[in-house]
Amino acid sequence: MAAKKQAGKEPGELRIRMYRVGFGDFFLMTVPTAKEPKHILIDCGVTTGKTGKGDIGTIKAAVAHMAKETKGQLELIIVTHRHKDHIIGFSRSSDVFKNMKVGAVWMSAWEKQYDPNEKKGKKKPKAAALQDEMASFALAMQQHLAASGADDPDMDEIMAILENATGFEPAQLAAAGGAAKRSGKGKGGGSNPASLAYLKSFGPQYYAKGDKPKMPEVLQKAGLTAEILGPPPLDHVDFMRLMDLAKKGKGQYLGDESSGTPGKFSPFDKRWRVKADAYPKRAFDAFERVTKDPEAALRDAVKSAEPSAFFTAAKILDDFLNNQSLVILFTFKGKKLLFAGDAQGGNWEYWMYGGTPTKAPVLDDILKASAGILGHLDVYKMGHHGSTNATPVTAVQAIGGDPLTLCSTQQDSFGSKKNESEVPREPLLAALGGKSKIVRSDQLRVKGIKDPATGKALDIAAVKGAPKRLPKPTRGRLVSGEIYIDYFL
Amino acid sequence: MRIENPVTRPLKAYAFDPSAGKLLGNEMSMRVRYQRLDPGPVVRNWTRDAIAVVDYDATNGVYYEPVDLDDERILLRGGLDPSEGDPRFHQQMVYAVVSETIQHFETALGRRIHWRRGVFKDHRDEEARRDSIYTLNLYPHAFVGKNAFYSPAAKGILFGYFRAAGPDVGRNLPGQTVFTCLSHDVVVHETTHAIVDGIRRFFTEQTNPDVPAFHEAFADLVALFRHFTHKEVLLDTLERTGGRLYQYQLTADAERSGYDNYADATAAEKKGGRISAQLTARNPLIELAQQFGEATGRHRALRSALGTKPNSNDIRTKWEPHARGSILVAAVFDAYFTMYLKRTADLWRIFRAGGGSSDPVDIPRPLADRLCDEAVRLAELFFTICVRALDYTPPVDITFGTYLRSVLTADFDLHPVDESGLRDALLQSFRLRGIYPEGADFFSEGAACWPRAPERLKPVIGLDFGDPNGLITNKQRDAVGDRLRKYVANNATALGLLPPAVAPIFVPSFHPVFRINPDGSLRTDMVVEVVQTVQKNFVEGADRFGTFPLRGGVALIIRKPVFGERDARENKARIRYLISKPATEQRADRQRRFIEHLGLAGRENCFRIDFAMVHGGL
Repeated sequence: MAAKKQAGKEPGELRIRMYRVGFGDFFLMTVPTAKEPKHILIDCGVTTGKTGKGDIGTIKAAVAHMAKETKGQLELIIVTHRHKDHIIGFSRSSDVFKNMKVGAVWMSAWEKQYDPNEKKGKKKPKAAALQDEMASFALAMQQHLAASGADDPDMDEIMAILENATGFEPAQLAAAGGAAKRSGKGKGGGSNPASLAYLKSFGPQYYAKGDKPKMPEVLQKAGLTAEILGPPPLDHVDFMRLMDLAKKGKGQYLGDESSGTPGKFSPFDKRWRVKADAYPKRAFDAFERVTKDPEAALRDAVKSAEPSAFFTAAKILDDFLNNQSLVILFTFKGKKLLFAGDAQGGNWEYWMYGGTPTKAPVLDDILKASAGILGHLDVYKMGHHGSTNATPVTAVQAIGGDPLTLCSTQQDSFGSKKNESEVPREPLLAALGGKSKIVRSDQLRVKGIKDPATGKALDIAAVKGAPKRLPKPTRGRLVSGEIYIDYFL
Repeated sequence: MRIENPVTRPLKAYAFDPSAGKLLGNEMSMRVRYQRLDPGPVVRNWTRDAIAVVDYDATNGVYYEPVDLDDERILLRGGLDPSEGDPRFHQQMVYAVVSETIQHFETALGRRIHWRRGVFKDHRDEEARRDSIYTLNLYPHAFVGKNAFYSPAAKGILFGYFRAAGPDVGRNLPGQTVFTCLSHDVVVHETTHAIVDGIRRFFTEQTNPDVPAFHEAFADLVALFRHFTHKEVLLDTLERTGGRLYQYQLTADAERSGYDNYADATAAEKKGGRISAQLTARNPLIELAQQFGEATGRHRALRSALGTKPNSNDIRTKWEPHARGSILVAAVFDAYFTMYLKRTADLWRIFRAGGGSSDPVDIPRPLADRLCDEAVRLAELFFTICVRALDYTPPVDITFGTYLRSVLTADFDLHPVDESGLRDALLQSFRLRGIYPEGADFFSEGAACWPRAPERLKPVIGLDFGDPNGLITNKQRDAVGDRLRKYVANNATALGLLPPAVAPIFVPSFHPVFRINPDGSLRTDMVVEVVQTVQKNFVEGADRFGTFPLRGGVALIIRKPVFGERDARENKARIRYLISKPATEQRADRQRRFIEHLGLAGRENCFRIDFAMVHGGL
């Protein structure tokens, strides 16, 4: 391995380091300055995924390595969104992060909606509500599955999604006396709420499309600038509807009425049906305190308590959180680096087309500015670990400049080829491969580093389907290390 | 002359569920507390903590015609006759069973119950009011699904309905609609959840693995003990088990008649069950919600409580709430059956002395009658102490071990001398399943009961105990609440609480309780819940990673002095029991580990049990 080659780093080179932690993002961008290199951490997380293979158990070693490399000082932490595969590292390695000096934190503007310090009037902040709900939802779902003994691949998917949204692990639940369906090792704790509490304790800056980010001075002087492309701003109408999610019952995660119940049928003849006024007014007393229309409140409450609502909820929740991703375009000495978080359709559409397109999106409709960005890239941090829903076809078509694509992933963690949902998705890799060179984190063999938790040396093979060799980028060079791949540009 | 209101109203219901047919008093008449009713049924005059049946079907988005139980045509019939196809009968049954369950609880507790109450910062606290339930709604056909659950958000109990699944659906027609609201057990079980949520505000917070299991077990216990009050079923079961009530299978009709022992019968024939009279049936007393279990195609009915041999390993390996809960159910029923055998031993000796077989297939009716009386009496006793034990539990963080201590104490408080050996039976049956009195110094009855409150505790002065209907006016309630809050704040340290400045103290509930002493005199107590919350760091020593709520609390049982005592003259009420679960560092550690394992660090409400999900697997 060419671990030592980094010693030959040219002065003035920008370095993007992709740690191999499994299915999750953990990037360290190192910016040369006059005095010493300065560091930006972009996400730090991993999740086990549907198959339980996503977490390869290296994140603690990676965090320890990063702390040493940065001498415990980060100019900036950027957290794209609140999924486990982007944030769990902060609390899992709380021993390291609690001593870290952090200059600034950037988060998605949508996070502001859930800032625990935001207290408007007597109402409970949405942060608390959403956090509570997701956690209790996940725990309940776990118990539900254990009780029903359901053995359904969809269930695994839903559990994996929930795990990502909350940061809890089924295997840990078993150890703690909850019930677990899936086997698989719990790999070390931490939780999303604890990670978020940590990040928010620095008083982050929250950004959405169009905001001018406040780059730390030392980085600015070094020539680094950033443009925020996503998420859509808080007043974006299509997104506002989704914001109702955080409002109250989990039923709110549901779409419209039509998302109905499987096997719906009517138990009684039509002649038994009556209008609400067949009941005395007192029948709705229980909801009298809630609203002015207790009858409607009753209907809502019964509807949203229905358990089938939960299943639909899980998937909507997942998209919702991904779409809150911060999408950032960095510019350094004329080089363009696009970090797309896990942004999905809505988020991309907003900045590519200036809103949700009314007809099928085509290449020609892309806004000039956006086309300009995509057409001249040096680095693309691939959205959502190479999953099919996170780099739109038109975006791939628009990409130009022969960039290097960084794909942090772990094959066989999510989806399946049969359902055309494997991650990373092969046709997407093929299409993108025609436009850029792709380097994957799971093609690296982790070796020559110790797990700080156990003191044992780690040795994790590259995944079978991944390319054996690092690609040769058009510009700059790729160097692999014990637990990371560096791109010098 | 005005005619007095009747005390009760007769209403018909299934004793089990429709699948039990008309046999054995399955179609029963219940007598529930009389109240004037509007269609629904909805209680006509506003009363606190009433119930209302609202037949709204969220899946189909429709209301069903409500039953008017005050219609004279229904009154004259003593309620509508059982019918699966008439939603109005369903509404009637749900109303009747829920009302009766409430009555049973109130009798056992010696006081009125109330539904869930929010945590009030002051009496104008709107959020707490919204979180409270003043009328419990019952939705007999709320949705399509194999589920029924109590939902605080929907302010009531939702019953699902579904089509029986698969080719083997027991005594159901394949594809027939099964209504969970027609299962007596399901209704009792769900009502129990709602009642417990009203008695212990923080019991739904999952602070350890026993919490959800306790809820399931307790609700099952209540439903099961109800079975032992149906005399007809009990008698039949006694006859079919040869008096062995705990026997899992009933003896088949063919065997009882001696048919299977005809001379030429092969072993296969004896066992084979070629005709239905040869098939053995399960003991209905110890099965829950048979129709439900059969209709979902799982062959065995829901959660057989006593199907397994006791072992002390299950408690370390079973975590799923129902599986874990069944350990507790089995422990209590083990004690129940042990007591039953003890108390009926003399009857069996008389029976055998008269030439009766030591392994009877059939027992004479008079013997069955006597056994039945014992079984009923014991079931009532067990139900009473299991329910009353709730008042003796610490207000937070319930475990099986603390519940055991509470049950023992509840019984001790009622019968100080354990003549019957009931407490011993409980201790042993729990021990067999690896459940030990939590925090007790010794494994003995005396040590396992909660200790009496230390005498040095100051008495509460000038406490109003109200009258047997409770504290009637708001003014009275406010005054008692204020007095208790003040007492608790002033004596926090003595009560084993953290000072109010460190962790705010509040009093979620207080109730005067009226019970009869063994000597026939009236005993008046006040049971009080006191809870405090401290925020603990999720990562010890690092504030940045957020906090979780750790709750500590005490249950107080305060005795009203009786006429002639000095305390009575001075208006001093002494604390008899101080049952506490303090917010110690040790508990913080345990909870931190639990949360860490769950990976669920979060805020106040994220650990609350979601019964919809726990029950989804029924």
